Amino acid sequence: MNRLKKAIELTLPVCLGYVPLGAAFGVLLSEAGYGVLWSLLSAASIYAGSMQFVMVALLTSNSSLVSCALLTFLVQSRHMFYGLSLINRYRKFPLFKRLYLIFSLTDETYSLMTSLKESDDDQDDQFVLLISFLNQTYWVTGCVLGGLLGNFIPFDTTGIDFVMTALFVTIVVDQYRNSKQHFPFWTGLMCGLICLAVLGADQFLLAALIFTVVILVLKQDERISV
Amino acid sequence: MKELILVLMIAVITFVLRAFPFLLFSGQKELPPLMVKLEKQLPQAVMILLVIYCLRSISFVEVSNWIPQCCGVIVTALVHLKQKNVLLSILSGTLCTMFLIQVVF
Repeated sequence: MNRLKKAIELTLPVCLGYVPLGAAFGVLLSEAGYGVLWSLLSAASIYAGSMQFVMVALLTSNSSLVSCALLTFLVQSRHMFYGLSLINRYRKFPLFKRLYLIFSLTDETYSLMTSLKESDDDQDDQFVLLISFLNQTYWVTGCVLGGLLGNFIPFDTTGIDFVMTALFVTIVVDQYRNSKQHFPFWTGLMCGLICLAVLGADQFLLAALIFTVVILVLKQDERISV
Repeated sequence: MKELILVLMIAVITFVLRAFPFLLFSGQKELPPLMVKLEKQLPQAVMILLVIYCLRSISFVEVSNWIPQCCGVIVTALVHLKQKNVLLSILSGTLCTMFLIQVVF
């Protein structure tokens, strides 16, 4: 039980983030007309914070499945890179457990995993599984609570969908602050605004994403072109 | 039905992306240069696009339509620049927006 206590201690910050944010998602989803079972299904099967918020917008829009798929791919593309530093660490797990560890690799779980020290007994297999599982438990709990409470909130919730915008704003601020190169930010901003002005609110995103990726791929890095 | 397909599709795509490095790069240490570049640059560009996506339907014709959202963005960003606490930033931006929508306009 010492192991459980240690894992709870380590994941406490994630708990403090996941439960309220998950609850906000649950409330938002139920405001959009999808009850607690949808919250549970999303948290259990998708298990990705920002994408679940985008999903609420997609559910209430008329976007085609193809453009939803492309949007999902681009929003989630950062996950393609997380596993790289964990390939060796996860290799020793039996297939089923390894699949769960890969499935549950959210931004926060990834940062905890990479903070575990190689030498520690932190590397103990059960401990790694426990961390992944606890984190998802927090998230599911938050989403389900939000879904349950969504219909019984005693105050006017008009405007509460701004939590999603606010979440993305904080991520943008962090990324901008932590990166020396701001070209991608400006590329995204300009492509987004121009496509929005030309194509309108319902059509702009797909075009803006494609233009952004093309520009980023084509642009030579300074140190290479000099 | 379309909703269920959408949720499961998002789940499958997310899982495949998370599994991608384990499937492709388990034998090698180095990534192709284009992937390294996109890893660094794509998230920044996608996130600002998502902010625009969230704000896509505000209209500048009526003041009541855009002031609350824009104030919310500014408050969220400023609080986050000062405090670096995600929950606090989201809470202050959202409360500000809700207050402006419900009470002021």
